[in-house]
Amino acid sequence: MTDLSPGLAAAALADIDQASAAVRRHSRWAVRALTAYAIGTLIFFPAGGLLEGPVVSVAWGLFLVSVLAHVWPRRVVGRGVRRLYVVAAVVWTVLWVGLAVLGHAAFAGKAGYWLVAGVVVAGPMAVAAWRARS
Amino acid sequence: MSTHPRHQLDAVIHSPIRLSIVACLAAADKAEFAFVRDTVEVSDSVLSRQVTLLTEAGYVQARKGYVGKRPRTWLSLTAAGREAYTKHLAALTAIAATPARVEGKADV
Repeated sequence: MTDLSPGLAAAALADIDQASAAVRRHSRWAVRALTAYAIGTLIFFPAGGLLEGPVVSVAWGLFLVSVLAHVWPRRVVGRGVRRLYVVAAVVWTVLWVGLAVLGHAAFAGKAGYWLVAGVVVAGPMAVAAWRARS
Repeated sequence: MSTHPRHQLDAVIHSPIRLSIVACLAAADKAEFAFVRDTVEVSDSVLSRQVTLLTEAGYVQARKGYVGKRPRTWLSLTAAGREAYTKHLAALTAIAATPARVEGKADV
């Protein structure tokens, strides 16, 4: 059995707070990456639906590579971020594919549809970014 | 049997360095060995020794991998480690809330 005075226990709790704060501080990259995904979706989903040619696909690819380059060297993953990302990515993919197929089939060239759909597709990543802040 | 919270303290986590390591990992899904070393402010060898003890207790899991060509070791808390840490934290909080004994009055 171990023994501990209230003062030492309080000091240990302060150390714990310090360690937790350091982890939270170094985990903020996830919020930045998820926010970037959401903003990128707002731009590239409507652009992909409305513009012809490979320029949008190439720009989207470069964007994804730059986000990955930001994420790859990170040294800590905050508590719950991995699960949050997987759930958001699955919902985001389903929405992207579903709304893109629907858009090309029924709303080709209609900017209103693609802009609103872009907001809907960006939703999961925006929510994940907001939840990763806490 | 006494119900004093000190009975709930975990002997493995109780060491200050191991407590800092576990507290660091409790706030993360996973953390790189070097990040934990820098956060806890210990040397590689000290962290390695303490992580071995925590791994043997079943509280920490170490996984080796690569980022590019650089080898990296990722540390994470196991479910058992998280449960032990939660209990230890509750005990610490209870002890910290215990009124400190005033030596002068106690002797009167």
